[in-house]
Amino acid sequence: MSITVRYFAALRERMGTAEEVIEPPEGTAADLIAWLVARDDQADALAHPSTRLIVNDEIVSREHALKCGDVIAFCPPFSGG
Amino acid sequence: MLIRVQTERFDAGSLLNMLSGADSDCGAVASFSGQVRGGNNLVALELEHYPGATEKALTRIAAHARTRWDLRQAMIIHRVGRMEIGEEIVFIGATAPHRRAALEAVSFMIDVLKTQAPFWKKEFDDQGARWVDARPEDDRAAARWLDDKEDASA
Repeated sequence: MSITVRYFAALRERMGTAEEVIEPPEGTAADLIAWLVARDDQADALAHPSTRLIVNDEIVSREHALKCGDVIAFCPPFSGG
Repeated sequence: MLIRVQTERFDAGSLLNMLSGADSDCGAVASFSGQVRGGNNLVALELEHYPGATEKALTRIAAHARTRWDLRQAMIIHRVGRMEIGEEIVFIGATAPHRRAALEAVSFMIDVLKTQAPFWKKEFDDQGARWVDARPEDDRAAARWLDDKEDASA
């Protein structure tokens, strides 16, 4: 399935890109993280417990099931305000 | 409800005046202004956000405040981009018939914004730049509201 992945702030700098379109197997956000880490050592930061996930503009848990066309963003802990 | 994410500077006094004149049945206008804190050789801040998701998160926070307290107005203005020391970052405002609702709603909105809205600060000092870590006390401040029973209406 086709998924758009976005990286923000420190994770964008670590991954070296702001956005990519990928074709992972179907599964949850946790499955996608495992797939990304297996693909690229740099992606281990995505698996850190403090990383927040936003799918289609909503904060989700790692158990969230992804579907084709989703946009998932990997976010370091928020620091606004 | 007014939600805005912008690079332009804003005048907190004008926003407060806008709230003060909005509703004749309001006895209370409360606000919080956040600004760039100097010290530790800080030169400037840069704020990044997630366009679209940020506005949705802020709208959800303000709407949540309105269901929890008897408010007339709720306002969240947040800047992004580069800011110098002393410049405004965020303005939160609320009006209500009574003060407790307005004060608590403003406190709620800034505390929850810190942990639920996708903003990231980068600090620039004389050595370079670094991303600001989330602070555990911010998590605790937000949890205090989100774990509460929803019986705080005043």
